[in-house]
Amino acid sequence: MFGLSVSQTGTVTVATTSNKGLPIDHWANRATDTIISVGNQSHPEITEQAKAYKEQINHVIKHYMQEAINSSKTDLIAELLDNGYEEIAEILRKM
Amino acid sequence: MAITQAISTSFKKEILQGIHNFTSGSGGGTTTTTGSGNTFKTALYTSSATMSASTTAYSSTNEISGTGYTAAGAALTNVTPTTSSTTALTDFADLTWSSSTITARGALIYNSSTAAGSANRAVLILDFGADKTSTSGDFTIQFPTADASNAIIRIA
Repeated sequence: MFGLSVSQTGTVTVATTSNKGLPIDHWANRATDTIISVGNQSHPEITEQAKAYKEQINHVIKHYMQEAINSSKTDLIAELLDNGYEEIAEILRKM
Repeated sequence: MAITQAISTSFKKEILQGIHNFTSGSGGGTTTTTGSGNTFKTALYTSSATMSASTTAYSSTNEISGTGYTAAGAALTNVTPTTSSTTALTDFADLTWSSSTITARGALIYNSSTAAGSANRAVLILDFGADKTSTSGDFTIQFPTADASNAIIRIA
């Protein structure tokens, strides 16, 4: 006889914001957590190395996410300027 | 009226019937590959909804409405099922309703593919623990770490 257990569902977290989007740190942390999971039963030295690597990856992700946001902003500003919306483009540039 | 977090009992039966396919991406199946996965959606509900393990399918009753939200919810991005030791598990990418003004107490993940037997069948019910609100902002559901202890759906 075999026992098959479909566990209770995992627990989700809901993050919400008001009048702004989630910060880049949030997305960088989510990306890092999805890519790298550090087990709690590894040798302490391995765990420390993994955590240091994870932190480094987090910085890299954060940097390139910011670059992507800047590029997207550049596209939007160019489009707004092309269509004569200088004031809106300036607001976007200052954000 | 309450939302009780659970895996739908009907879903457990339907796993054994081979009705749900969580594989990511597209492509036809063969005798040795799983082929394309089904499309799964997340619909959001108010605190007036009644959902539990006995929920069998998507329903629009007490589904939320608001800026940035479309009835029947939003599609999830499947992560192809894998194993960790003796546990099989699957995951979804986080889901965000951007620039939204909505309030929800819970959610239903369901199979929205049109294949016979799978259409709108419930997978699991999520209870957020309290009303969650976004106001001209982001409303994001973050799925747990995809491991044998925490993944959103596990078969051990």
